[in-house]
Amino acid sequence: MTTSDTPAEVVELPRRDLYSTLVRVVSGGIGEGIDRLMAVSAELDTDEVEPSGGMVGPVTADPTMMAMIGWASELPDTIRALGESTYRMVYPVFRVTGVAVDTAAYVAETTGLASFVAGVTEPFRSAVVEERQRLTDIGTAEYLRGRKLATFAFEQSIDGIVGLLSESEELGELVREQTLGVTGSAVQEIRETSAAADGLTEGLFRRLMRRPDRAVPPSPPTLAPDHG
Amino acid sequence: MADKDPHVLDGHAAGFVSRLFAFAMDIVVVAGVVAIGGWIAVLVDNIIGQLGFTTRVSLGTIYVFCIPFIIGLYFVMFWSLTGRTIGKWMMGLRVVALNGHPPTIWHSTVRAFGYAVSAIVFWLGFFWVIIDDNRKAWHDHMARTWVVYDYSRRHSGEAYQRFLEDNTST
Repeated sequence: MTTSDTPAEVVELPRRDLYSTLVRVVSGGIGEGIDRLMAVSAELDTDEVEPSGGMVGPVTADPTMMAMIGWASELPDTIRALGESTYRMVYPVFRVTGVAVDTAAYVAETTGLASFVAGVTEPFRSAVVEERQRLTDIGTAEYLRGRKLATFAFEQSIDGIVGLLSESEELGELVREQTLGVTGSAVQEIRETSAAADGLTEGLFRRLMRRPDRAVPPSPPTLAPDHG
Repeated sequence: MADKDPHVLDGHAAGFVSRLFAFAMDIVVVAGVVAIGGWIAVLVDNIIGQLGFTTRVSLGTIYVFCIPFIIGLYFVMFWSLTGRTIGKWMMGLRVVALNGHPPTIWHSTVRAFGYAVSAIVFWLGFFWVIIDDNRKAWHDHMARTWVVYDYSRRHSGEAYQRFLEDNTST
């Protein structure tokens, strides 16, 4: 038998195969994910959020969904309140039952019946406790390893995706070509159109002001042909 | 005008529409910068408040007074370093001094101040580009700068070299 303090050293773990690895990833992922989500959720609890009007976007468009979320959020409190009221209702029954159990135990103790029952059930009880402890040790060891494995798997998958994007020359070239091609042609189109509009606008105003048209736009004097 | 060779206009003064588009893009960029700065200021202000420090004037108020300087810094920095802001880069324009190079910090500062002067009378100083013989706005006259087409992607001056070569060889 081992203790939960040093489970990894003495516990005989299941043999490694795909199934056990999957169990590790799932259990560790759930544990790791829940811990992180709980931490973020606790941070969000400190934020001040207006009950209504402070939220923008599509969430405000569906009051039914909001009501369901509100109901689900209050569900634990509802269950707790229900349990308390139920307990208050059945409390007299519990009290009577408790008195009856105490009486039966007293009778069994005084008559020697309790020792007899304990002697008969002790081997089974010990076996159950031992088996539960063994599984608990395995679970503890697996859970800790699972969390490490889940973290590793997560980081590896992110690294893999980033690595694939950065190392794949074909993919990078394709993205670059497509982006530059589309953007470049669009920018060029805008430039040419606006440059043409420059001439049209100026020509219109020059005609209104009875000034002669000119074929080319002016240039800085230092760049004029006769200056060079 | 610019049918086939995109560089045919390089070195020539840019007109009103191109400059208007470039200015609109710069306004969007500056608005984004100012918004991010404001968000940071409010965040820092909140942290200061959470830490229990009290100030007579909030950081947000101080930031509001800094906004004109941030806008000015944006334009002066880009003009004096490269001659083009992000908007002008998108539209293929460049601000140049009379020597063909980007304006100095002093001329850029004068030009940024000239923006306010041009805008103060119903933006008349900006519209002046349409009727001015040299396509110059009031702030161009104040800072003695030109805004020219420059579709090159590289360093300043390339467009003018090409302009000179094209026009002196004929």
